[in-house]
Amino acid sequence: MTQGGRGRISITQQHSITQQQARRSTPHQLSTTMRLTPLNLRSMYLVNNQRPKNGRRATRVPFPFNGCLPLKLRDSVSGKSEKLQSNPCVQEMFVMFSCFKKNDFDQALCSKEIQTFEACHLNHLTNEKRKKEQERRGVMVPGEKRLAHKQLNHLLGRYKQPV
Amino acid sequence: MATGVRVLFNDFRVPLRSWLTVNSAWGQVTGRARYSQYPPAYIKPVYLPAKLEELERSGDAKQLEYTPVRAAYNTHTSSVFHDPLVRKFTNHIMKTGNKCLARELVEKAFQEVKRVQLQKRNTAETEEEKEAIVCDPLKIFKQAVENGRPVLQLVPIKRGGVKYQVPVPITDHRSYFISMRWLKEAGREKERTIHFPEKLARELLAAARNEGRVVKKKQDLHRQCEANRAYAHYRWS
Repeated sequence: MTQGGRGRISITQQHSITQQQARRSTPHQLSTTMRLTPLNLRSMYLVNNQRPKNGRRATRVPFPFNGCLPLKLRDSVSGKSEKLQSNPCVQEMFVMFSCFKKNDFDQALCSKEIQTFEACHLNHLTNEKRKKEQERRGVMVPGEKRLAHKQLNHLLGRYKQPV
Repeated sequence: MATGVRVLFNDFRVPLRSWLTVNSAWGQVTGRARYSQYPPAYIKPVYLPAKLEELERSGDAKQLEYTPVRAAYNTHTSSVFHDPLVRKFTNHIMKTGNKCLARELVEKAFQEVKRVQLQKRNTAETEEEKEAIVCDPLKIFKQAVENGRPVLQLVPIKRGGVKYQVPVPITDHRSYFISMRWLKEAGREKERTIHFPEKLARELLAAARNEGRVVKKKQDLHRQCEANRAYAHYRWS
């Protein structure tokens, strides 16, 4: 192997690391002491204290598991991605557009379509308002398919994960 | 003029027991104004005689006898000549707080409308034709605003670094605002020699007939919305 003195020194360093690992092998300490630069990482040395026989560099060690979070589910969800991608009244809008186009944008001839569209929008607004109010207060609605994060948290708090 | 309004206001307020005043949206808990000087228990005053009568008839007034009420604005008057839409329009026309001038301009425009309609009425030949001509400028104004109201609006929405003009439904409140803004702009777009009230009167009459700049503008907006209908799915809610 054509390696300078530096490489050799680092190999000895890795030696000491493996010994340390043997002594205290909690994953958290492993991640702090381990160097991840490819030149110094010789998995063969790390595993059984041997050089590779084929004259190649040893492969990288797989990234060590670092248990920074507890391995269990929380009893709550965050409301970050709650924004609904609902798109109401688009059908009514298209019907209205086709009527507009047919009658050269004369509103008097499309009053029925306009009325349905506006009624739909108003209905949507009132529904949203009511829903928001319920979600704000955390009121549970029986038979509701999509729950808000507050409602979910309410349920999760009632039926907690077994410890 | 201001004192005249004040006198009317005071005269009307005493017999109508105006302190028995109520918000039209009474009973609903709406969002609180963030920097309001009033505590949330205070309700907005109702100054329109028709609404007050309705409250008394329905018995809601009895419930609100001891509810604290906010002070009425200077422009809240029970005068028979008061109209909320006209008041709003006057405020749109007003520049730098010069309400006197704004009111004068609107009144002059209404006079002009009346003059034109009366002339038409007098020159009409048959009795039916005369009957068909509306001479009330307030009615014409309301019709003009109604005809200028758009059904949709275009909202820029950014998707993938590109701004799309997305057609979305519009609230009633905003559509009234846009209609009045267009009327005002149409009135201001004129030659140097023509005065604003004159031009505004012409535009009001045209819009009431479903013609003119404002209606054209509304139809253009609708056309653009129709052209951008493929983007309607980009709306968030």
